[in-house]
Amino acid sequence: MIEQPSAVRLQNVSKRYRGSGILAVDDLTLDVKEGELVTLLGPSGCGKTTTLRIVAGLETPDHGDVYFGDQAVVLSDTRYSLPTDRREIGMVFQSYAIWPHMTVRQNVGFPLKVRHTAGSEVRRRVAEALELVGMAGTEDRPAPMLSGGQQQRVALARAMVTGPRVLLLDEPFSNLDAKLREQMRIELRLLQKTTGITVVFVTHDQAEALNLSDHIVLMQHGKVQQEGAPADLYQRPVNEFARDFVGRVSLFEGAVTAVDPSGKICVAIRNAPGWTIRGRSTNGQAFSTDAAVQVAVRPEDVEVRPDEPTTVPALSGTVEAALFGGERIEYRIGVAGHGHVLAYSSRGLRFVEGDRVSLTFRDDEATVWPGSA
Amino acid sequence: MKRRFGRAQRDRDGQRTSQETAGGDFTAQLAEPFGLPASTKPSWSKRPLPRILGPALLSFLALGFVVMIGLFILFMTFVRSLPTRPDFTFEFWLDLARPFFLTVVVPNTLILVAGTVVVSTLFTIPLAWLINSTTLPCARLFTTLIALQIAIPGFVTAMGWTMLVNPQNGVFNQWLAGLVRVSRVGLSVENPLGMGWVMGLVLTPPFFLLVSGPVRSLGAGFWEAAAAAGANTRQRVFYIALPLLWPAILGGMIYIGMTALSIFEVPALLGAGSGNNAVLATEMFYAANPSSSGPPVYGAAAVYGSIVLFAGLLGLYF
Repeated sequence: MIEQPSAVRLQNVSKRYRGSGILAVDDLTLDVKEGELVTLLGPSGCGKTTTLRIVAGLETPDHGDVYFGDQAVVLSDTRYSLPTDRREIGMVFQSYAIWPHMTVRQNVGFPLKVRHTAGSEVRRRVAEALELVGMAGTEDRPAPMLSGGQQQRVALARAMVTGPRVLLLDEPFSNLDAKLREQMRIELRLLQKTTGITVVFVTHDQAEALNLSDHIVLMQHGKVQQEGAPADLYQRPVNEFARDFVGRVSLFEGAVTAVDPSGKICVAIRNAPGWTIRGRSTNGQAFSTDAAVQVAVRPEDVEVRPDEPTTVPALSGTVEAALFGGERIEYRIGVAGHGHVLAYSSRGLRFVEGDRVSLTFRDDEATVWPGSA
Repeated sequence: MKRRFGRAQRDRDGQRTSQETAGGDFTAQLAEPFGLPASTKPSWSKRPLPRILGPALLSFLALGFVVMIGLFILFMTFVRSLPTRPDFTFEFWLDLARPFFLTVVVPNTLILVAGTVVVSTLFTIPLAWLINSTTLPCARLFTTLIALQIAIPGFVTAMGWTMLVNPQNGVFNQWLAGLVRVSRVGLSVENPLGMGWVMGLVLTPPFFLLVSGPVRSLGAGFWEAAAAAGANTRQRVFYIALPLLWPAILGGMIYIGMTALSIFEVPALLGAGSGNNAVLATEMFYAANPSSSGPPVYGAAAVYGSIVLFAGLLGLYF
């Protein structure tokens, strides 16, 4: 397979904010391939927005270099930084920043106007951009008359109207309601596939990142904790932070009873005599027999059944909370000696708070981590 | 740079709710000066009568006082001596045609007002932008110092400038004369332009406080969005920042202009008191408080006051 060339490359970039002294980005190296949708994911304050702003030229890093393709846009050693307005980017801000004194046409056409594009060409490309985001026919509407969702689309059209080298999106869906957010995710994905544009997307919403991305960069304290395809991050987390931040897990303490040649690890769960979970290590760490470990189980790998006598070894618990979510039901089940376990089940099998249930776990899907002795 | 956008609604758990309009709140605030229907304020007509009765009565009372004072000043322009001894005359209005008024007072006043507005605008806008929209160090200290300057009476500032740049022995003039090796430097603030300079500096702090709020509300978002759209600094200033701030700047300029028209102390100290550099405010004061032994000419003072009043109303209307 031929590797795509880099669209954006950050090399050993660091940024410390003066005043607060916070190290927002810590020796970050990142390579965004052309035509990819890359998501910077992480909790608030992890440095993802600062990274995006460094790419945009709205922040200057203390150390490190930034390249767009082969062109250097930041070279810290020589204190060179290409101004934002000359980087040929498109950017959608969390607030959208739609200029209220302009109409939709003026907003979307502004990037063309400042590039001295001819009037007829501006009209044509504005119409095309609005068509692309499903806002055709709204050209003459004043910006303050737009709803949040419409503002978001106009911001997207404005960012794309010049055909930028890279599209930077800073939590663009966070101000939308859940339904609209879901719709916009699909539309953005389709738009990106249609146009083939390189997108760097910032979000703290792991579901959004998993849905949208070709590649996710998970950040914490200004550093990359893990990067890879969404399925990689979800199924093969390399550390506890990645395991806990992407998706949800229930943790069990136990001890390794056997490690088979294929790498499967059998763990006897503490306080549950005769009950074992078979899991795997996702970060290459080796475990010896009797080692104290933690086993992480995703809610979708937990099967909830009525608490009836069975030949299959199972944990017993009590439903503490049952949240109906439409396509599935989410349970929080209290298990003596293990705190609580999260589980999803289909709509067909319903329990209510207080029901006794038994839990079994899908083999090989659990992940094994070093535990406390 | 710090961003301060409209707050999204939050429920009891602190989670954002109903956020589709969250990005629009601030946009709506900015939309109001452009005459767009962005406000969600409750309609007065829909409020129950007892709730609006108190505010309405107070408003009409205040309005009544203002109109009464205005009408009384207008009435006084036609009275020769005291209002208790009506003796109607047009002589004070006709006096406006005096050559002294037309060739000295009016031009001096216009230069003073225009100079004040230009000087204070040139200082205020960059200051407000620097302090409120950039990461300038010690921004809060600068704001405090600017606000502190309001506490210094205008005549003290004027005296300070007289000591600095009076043609005879101004400290700055003497230093400059030494520097360029001449016997005398004629820099002076005791002329209409100099008065405009001093008054502009005196009125910069209130103008700064007036526009700081809108500049801070504008924040960095619109500016950065324009930069990301490819606009250079000049384009960002003229296409984005100035149109958005124009209502606040214009309002501030009108206020400063009106204040410059009516302030007495600075022109009085800078020459108007001795008969030179007469402006409308000093003419008004000396008509009501003549320095010579003659009686106060309230009618003339009322005519000058009416001019200030009409100018103010005109400025506010437009």
